[in-house]
Amino acid sequence: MDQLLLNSGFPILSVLIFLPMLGALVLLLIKDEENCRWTALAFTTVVALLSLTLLSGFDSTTARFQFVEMRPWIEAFNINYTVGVDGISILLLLLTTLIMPFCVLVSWTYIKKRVRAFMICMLIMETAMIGVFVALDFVLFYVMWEAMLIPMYLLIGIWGGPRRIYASVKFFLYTLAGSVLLLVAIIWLYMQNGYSFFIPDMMWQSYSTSAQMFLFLAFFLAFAIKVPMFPFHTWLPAAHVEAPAAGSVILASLLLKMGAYGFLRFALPITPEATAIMMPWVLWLSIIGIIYGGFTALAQSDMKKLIAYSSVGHMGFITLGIFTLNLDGIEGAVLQMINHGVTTGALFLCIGMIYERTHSRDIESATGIGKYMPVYITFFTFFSLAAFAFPGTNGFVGEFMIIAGTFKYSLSQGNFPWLALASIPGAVLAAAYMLRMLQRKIWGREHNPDNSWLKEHDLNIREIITLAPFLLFVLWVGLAPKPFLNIMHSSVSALVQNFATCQAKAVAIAGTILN
Amino acid sequence: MEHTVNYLVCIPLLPLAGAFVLGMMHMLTCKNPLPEKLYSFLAMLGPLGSLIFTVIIFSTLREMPAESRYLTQNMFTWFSAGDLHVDMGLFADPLSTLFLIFVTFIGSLIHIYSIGYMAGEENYGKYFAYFNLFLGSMLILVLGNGPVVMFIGWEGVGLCSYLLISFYTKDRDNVLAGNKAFIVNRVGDLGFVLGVAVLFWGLHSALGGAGFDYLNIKAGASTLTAGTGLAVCLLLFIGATGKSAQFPLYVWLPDAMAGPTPVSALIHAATMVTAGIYMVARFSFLYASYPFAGDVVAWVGILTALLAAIIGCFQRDIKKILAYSTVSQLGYMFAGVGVAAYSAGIFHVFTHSFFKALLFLGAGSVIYALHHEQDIWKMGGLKKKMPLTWIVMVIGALALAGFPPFAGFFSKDEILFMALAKGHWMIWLIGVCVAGLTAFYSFRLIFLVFHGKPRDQKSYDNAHEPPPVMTVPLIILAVGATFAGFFNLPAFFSGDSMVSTWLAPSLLEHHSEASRVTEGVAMVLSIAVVLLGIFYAWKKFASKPEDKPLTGFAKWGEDKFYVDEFYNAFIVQPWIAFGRTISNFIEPNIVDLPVKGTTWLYGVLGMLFKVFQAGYVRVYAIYMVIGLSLMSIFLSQSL
Repeated sequence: MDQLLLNSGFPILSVLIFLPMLGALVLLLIKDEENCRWTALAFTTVVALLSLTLLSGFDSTTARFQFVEMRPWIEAFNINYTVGVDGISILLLLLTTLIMPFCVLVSWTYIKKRVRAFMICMLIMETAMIGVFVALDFVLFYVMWEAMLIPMYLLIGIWGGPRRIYASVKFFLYTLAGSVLLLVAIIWLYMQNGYSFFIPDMMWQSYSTSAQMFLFLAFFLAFAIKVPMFPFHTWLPAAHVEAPAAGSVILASLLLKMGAYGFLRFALPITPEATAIMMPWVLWLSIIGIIYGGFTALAQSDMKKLIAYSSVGHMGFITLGIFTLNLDGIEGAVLQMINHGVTTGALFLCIGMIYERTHSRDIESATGIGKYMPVYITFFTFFSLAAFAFPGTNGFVGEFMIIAGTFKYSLSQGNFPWLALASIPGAVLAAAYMLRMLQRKIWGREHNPDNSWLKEHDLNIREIITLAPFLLFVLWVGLAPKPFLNIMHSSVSALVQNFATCQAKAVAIAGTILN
Repeated sequence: MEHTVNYLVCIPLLPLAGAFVLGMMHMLTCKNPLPEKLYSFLAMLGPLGSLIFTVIIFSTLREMPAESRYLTQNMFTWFSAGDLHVDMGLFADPLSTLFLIFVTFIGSLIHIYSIGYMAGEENYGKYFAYFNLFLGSMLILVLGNGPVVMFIGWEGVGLCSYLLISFYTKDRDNVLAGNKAFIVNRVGDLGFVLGVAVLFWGLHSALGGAGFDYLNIKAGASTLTAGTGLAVCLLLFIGATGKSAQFPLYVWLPDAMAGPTPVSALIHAATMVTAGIYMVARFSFLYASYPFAGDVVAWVGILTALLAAIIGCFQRDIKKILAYSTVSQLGYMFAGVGVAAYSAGIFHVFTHSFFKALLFLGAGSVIYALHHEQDIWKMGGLKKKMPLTWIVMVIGALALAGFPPFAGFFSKDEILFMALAKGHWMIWLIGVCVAGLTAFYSFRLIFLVFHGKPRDQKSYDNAHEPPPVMTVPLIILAVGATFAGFFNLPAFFSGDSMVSTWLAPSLLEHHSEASRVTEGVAMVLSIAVVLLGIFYAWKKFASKPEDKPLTGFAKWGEDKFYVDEFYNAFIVQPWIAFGRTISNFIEPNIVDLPVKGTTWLYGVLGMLFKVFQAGYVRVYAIYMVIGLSLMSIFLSQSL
């Protein structure tokens, strides 16, 4: 248990998990829609503020899990309620808690029917997502992991667009199918580890290579679908297009991070040997995702679809960074996870705002509005720049570190840096598809629909308050990412070091067998 | 010697702050705009402030010993992971100071000119916000302490160029030109990013976690392996061809003329496009060690110069002619830095910024006077109506053609002579031919616009000199275009090469000596070719020019050798088609096939089993009988 720092005082993580759930219960008692909105906003905001207090107590010099709480849960199977955070999960936890209030804000007038049920879904979603990031018991993780699907299914299925049923069913079944093998893997690990579901104990064990390969396969299927990596991404555009604005934000900013987080937390530490074997394949799959996502985004006329495919490309960069397995690459990838969450979330918020006005997501519908909605277009331009990694914005720092890590990987293997070279056209594509959208939004085409009525409908104060923090974050990380890198540094370097030790051991064993 | 100062940051920060204030003001008041005077006053503060700080830096550097002339300012650590450590810092040495001087000086002049040119335009405030933003980015580019900080400015100027090209939003072509500029630049940027990444990994053990900035890179450059070093040079040069409009990425610059004319003057002639040359000179310590990379730079440069000059001879649009002349002159500069005559190349950047800004602003005055007419075949005889503009344009054209003693002569001749002295006689020969072509097309422009008879009487009658706020900058620039060459008077004219001496500590160059006789002969020859070009233009266009449709080679030249069409057909369209194919065919029919197949399989299975679920008791009774019979058979068998 030396990898844990137990939390003796205020059970902050449990409070963070269950406070939104409590909010959902409170909402059951409230009838009035306006009050529902305010209650949801109050609960998400309190959770956000509480989560910030984690930072003051967080010790960034250690890679150990912190704020750990352990309580027996189902004693017959030795299942415990164990939660804790390290330098990687705390950032994702904060991303989750901080984005949720904005999701409530953007739904303020967007959601007109069944407001109470909507807010309940949002709050349950928050509980599940926080649970995934802090769970240290595999059963707890799995429960939270699957629990996320239900509110999301409802969010898309009830408040979605015209093809919402198709999209929600595809989303639900696709991701559910992915995690079935994960359950088998969990049970196998349970039996191997003296009937314990405790995650840190499962890491860095010397399972046989064939077992690792099976485990890796199970992990890979579950997480690659969630990321989503090419070619497991086809649920994403459908879900994004049909989901309401808040749903798209949660999907893009938070749900997609679950897969990448899964790779970091489970695939790498539990199956290092298999990871090392599969690494080149995953790297090239990431590259294909980057290029494929970029090309597909170029051909979209639905703005949400465009951003959805751009997410496939961006997430390709993130898996690329993770599987370089060096410090630059992984730190860049974790940073990029946060960046993508913020930037793409903000872009979906922007698209939601324009959809609320014009009731169309077609790239040609709101053309030439730069003239009428200068405030809106300024925000939109900034987030677009961040999306294609303009230097000075957050996207640049993350992408640069990932590319640097990719170079390091190729050179350390004694290879020509093909990987880094191949990832680069993704950046041109990103500029091309974002500019294509921007051009039509700001300047329009020959025959613009008359959008001059939008003159009186530039962003209101609520919307500006919603977007401004995102903008500040884009610039903050773009210019001074140091605080974020500091938080994750110990955990990531421990991960990289352990991985290297494990590999050295495996090589040594292989050597003795050969001799 | 204390090298750390805390005021470097003011130089880019003042225009950036100006951009922020102006932008906010414009955004909040766009429904009922504030008075133009307020905007123009605020817009001037940034550039002038930067100019003052530049002068301070210049005088501080002059007091330092020549070998260690530099100032730095480290603000904070930008990012670091593993060996990669990038500081957000600024660095001023003689090279960057020279750039600072002309960027802030000419930038301020063009700000003043814009006050007149843009008067009464829609989005007046936005224009100046962008302009300030541009200046700030350019100053970051020049002052950045390493390639990564430089990249902020590098992309920043690209962004501003994009925004300003698309400024007249009514015409869709402008917007497309903006997109084209950005995306073509982005292609070049890839080379830049890759070059920087390779450079970092070539050096990371030598750096050992120290800051990735010019001083450390220079110190460790000798540890690079030959292959890596060459790769870095060539990749960085790809970046330079994008930003500085060289073959094959020059196509965006002529289209960029869609922006307001002062923008063309500042961004697309005087400052931003010189970024590539700045970068090559900045890495002179690398390029000097890889002569092959230098040769590539020089040849791409001189051939671009030739191509652009030929195209320039057949254009009708006054701004397009000047745009191609810019591409051509940039080619000269690359030829200069390519043959390792860095100071000559940089000096041409310096003089070029004066006369090219002058020519563009002069053209702007003509366009302004003729109410946005840009076709030189619809002008003519304007000399009488606009004598001042005529004089300054002639000065500009003489400087561009490289006629002594105007600015272009000294700088261009220095490049050509250095090429000859270093044994690149082919480059020298092409360069001389280009000089002749340059003289021809610049005077074709002068004769067609200002001489002869007016070809469009109505707009001729309305033409008039622009207001003083526009003419005063023209006069100042004309003085510069006349005398800037004397700053670097070579020993041949018993000068002391002031600029070269000033730049020496920043650049790694070896001067080649050639005999005075060769220098003299080369000079006379190039003057003769220039005179020939001017004479031919005079003969053809001065008195009775004929605007007949071009045929043959000239037609090809007028149509820019169909390079754009080629790119469109072989690069742009296939990309788009590829995207469409993926999106409309591969994605739904191949990638999603397993998913669809699974759904289909379950559907079929469901259909199959549905048949048995009839819902009638009698059917289930039959199942029961069958089942029981089978069970009894099995039981009897096993017993």
